[in-house]
Amino acid sequence: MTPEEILLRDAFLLGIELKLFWFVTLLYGISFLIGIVYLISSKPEIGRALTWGLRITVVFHTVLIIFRGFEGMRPPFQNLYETLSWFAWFANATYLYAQSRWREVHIPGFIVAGIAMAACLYGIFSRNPVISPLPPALQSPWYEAHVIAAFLSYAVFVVSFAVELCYLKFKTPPEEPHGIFGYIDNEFRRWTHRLVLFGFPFLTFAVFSGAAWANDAWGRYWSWDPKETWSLITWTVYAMYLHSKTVGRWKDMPASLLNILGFICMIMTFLGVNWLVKLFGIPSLHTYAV
Amino acid sequence: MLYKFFSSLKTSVYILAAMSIMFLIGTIFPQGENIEDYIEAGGKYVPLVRALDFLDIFMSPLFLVITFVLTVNLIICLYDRFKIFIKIKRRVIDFERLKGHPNVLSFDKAAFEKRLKTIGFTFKIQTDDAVNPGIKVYEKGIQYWWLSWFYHVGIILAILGFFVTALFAFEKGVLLFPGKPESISLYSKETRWNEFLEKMGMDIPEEQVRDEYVLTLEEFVTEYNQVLKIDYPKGKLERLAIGIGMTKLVPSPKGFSYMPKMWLTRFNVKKPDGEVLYAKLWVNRPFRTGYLTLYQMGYEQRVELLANGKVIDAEARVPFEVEGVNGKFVLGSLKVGTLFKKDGTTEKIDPVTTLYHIPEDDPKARNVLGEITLGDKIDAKDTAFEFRDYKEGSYLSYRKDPGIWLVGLAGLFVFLGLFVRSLGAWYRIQYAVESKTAYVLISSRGILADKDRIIKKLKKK
Repeated sequence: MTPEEILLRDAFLLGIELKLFWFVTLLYGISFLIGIVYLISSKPEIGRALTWGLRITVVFHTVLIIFRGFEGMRPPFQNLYETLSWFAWFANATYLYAQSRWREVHIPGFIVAGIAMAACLYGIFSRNPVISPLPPALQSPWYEAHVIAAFLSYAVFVVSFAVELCYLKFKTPPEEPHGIFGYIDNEFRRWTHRLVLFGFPFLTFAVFSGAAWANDAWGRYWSWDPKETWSLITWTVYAMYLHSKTVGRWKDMPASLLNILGFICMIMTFLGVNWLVKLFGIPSLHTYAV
Repeated sequence: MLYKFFSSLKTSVYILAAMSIMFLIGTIFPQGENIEDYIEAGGKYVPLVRALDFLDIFMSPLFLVITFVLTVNLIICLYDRFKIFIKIKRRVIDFERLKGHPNVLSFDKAAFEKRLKTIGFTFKIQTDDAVNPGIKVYEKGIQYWWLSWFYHVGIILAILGFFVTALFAFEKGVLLFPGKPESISLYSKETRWNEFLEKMGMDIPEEQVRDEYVLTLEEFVTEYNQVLKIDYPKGKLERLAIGIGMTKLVPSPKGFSYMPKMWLTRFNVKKPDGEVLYAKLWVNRPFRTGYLTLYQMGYEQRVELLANGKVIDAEARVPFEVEGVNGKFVLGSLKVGTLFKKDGTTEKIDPVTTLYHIPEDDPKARNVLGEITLGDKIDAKDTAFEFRDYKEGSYLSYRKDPGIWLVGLAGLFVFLGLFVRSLGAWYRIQYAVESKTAYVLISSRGILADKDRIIKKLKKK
């Protein structure tokens, strides 16, 4: 192929990918709208439609991610454009897995759809989708393991946050046999704890593998870089959450607040740090992730 | 009183909260900056920043105190739990409570114990009761309280490792140009420990020959990838138009751009004992020998320009002046080395760079004057520029960090402990037999613990 033909081919493939990404974003938007209707009407069939909306979306989103990987011939989580898509997909897939275990409850899907849609919109509106090969800093054996572990933990924390909010807002009163959005009782709430318990070792691995990677790349396992420090803040807040779950009087509202705070810290680690770095003009070693 | 305070989980949560606040402060205030520079840059809350050492928060007395308190809390908690785990065996339920427990299950007693053993349970303890049947306890999986204990030991090791690093580690850089050997030493006076010794009026160890290594650059290699260049619109509506197929995505008329693929340094190392090693390293692939580890950190490019007949030694990306011309000039990164093209072929890049002009009244502006290739000339701003020669130096860093092995070990402890504790499965079965029935109470921990599966297996004939 001539260079011109390669250029045209790559532009064509990227065009298809962008259309697919817009379509996936639209599907998240539709799921989110169904969620709003469900919130207003509380009809179980609309709740089921919300879950089906997310199931259909995850299929197309999986195709999108595979397509992107095929285009770049590398794992598709190199820059913020790609990781936003990856984040949305992981959150949705994790939610659908968890939801399959509690079946009758659909309302957390509304929050997950909203977060996934926001991530996708941020990606396509604000980031550049052009595919580039891995820069030298990312060519490391730690790369895939570090990113996958981090995003798996993020996805799990998104779902835990959604469940926590739903519990706080829609918990079924003990005198009622069935709440308006299904059985949102203490048993359902235990999922918040289980999810964090599942995500926490992966977050730990992400922090330690990041340190090991930094040691290979820069000779320093820890630089107190804003991204590193925020990951430590997130880790500490979730550690507080897990400890509070074993302290009698802190099991309920204080633990819920810590779970929500953990989610906010996670978003700060993932996205907010970039904003913070720009705002305060702090030099960051993680500029490739911006 | 103090013991009770430090062995409490509530205390742990409060300390972790205090740590989080310190971390947060560390992401807001520029770490490592000089207080005078901070004031000059218009920094706020100066008295507070100065008093609490916010510009070096992670070595500030406040942070060290909180870390110390956390370590004490961890050690006392570990000691306290250790005592409980060792001396006070986990209490076994009595028969009446077992039988009346809301979660108790009934099984046929025939071959029940055999089935337990078949599915991997091991016998732990049996209680004796003069009136009621005794309770037998079986367990499967690693006891979660020991795992929890194990990863908390890991956290203490990590804190210790961080502390050793903070006190004794140092990092330096060396810029290597071909044929110009550079000496480096694995000893530095500039560690916090030495600073401390100096403050206390004590002697600091002198540098010795056995710490010295000599590095000579053989070759510095740069490689680039060819990258698709597309004029992707910035406007949201224009992006939407592409998304819904109203407009087509087209390649930029500029074609491809270059993206760094790899920086590789080939060099030799003369060790303190005289042995010479031939080595190479690249980004993410340090070179290690003995206590010395070298890392590829960057490079320096110097271009020899002839401007209006005068030789200028310009460093890429660093502004320079030309006599008699207003403003300054700057060269972009020099592209040199091998280009890996999209069609799978490679080609040698003719050394090329971009010349920019920086107007006097707008020092942030970079006005492109043109690309200039080795041996070529361009005329700009009434000046004739000729690209005569260039050289590339490799910037390596080296570090000695005696805390790293502790942190690595801690990472292993914490990760393994947490992983098995959270994701593994632990079961405890307490049961008693009365006539033909086995009354069974199952407790479990861990995400993978599945009581229903155990019950199914126990019911299997």
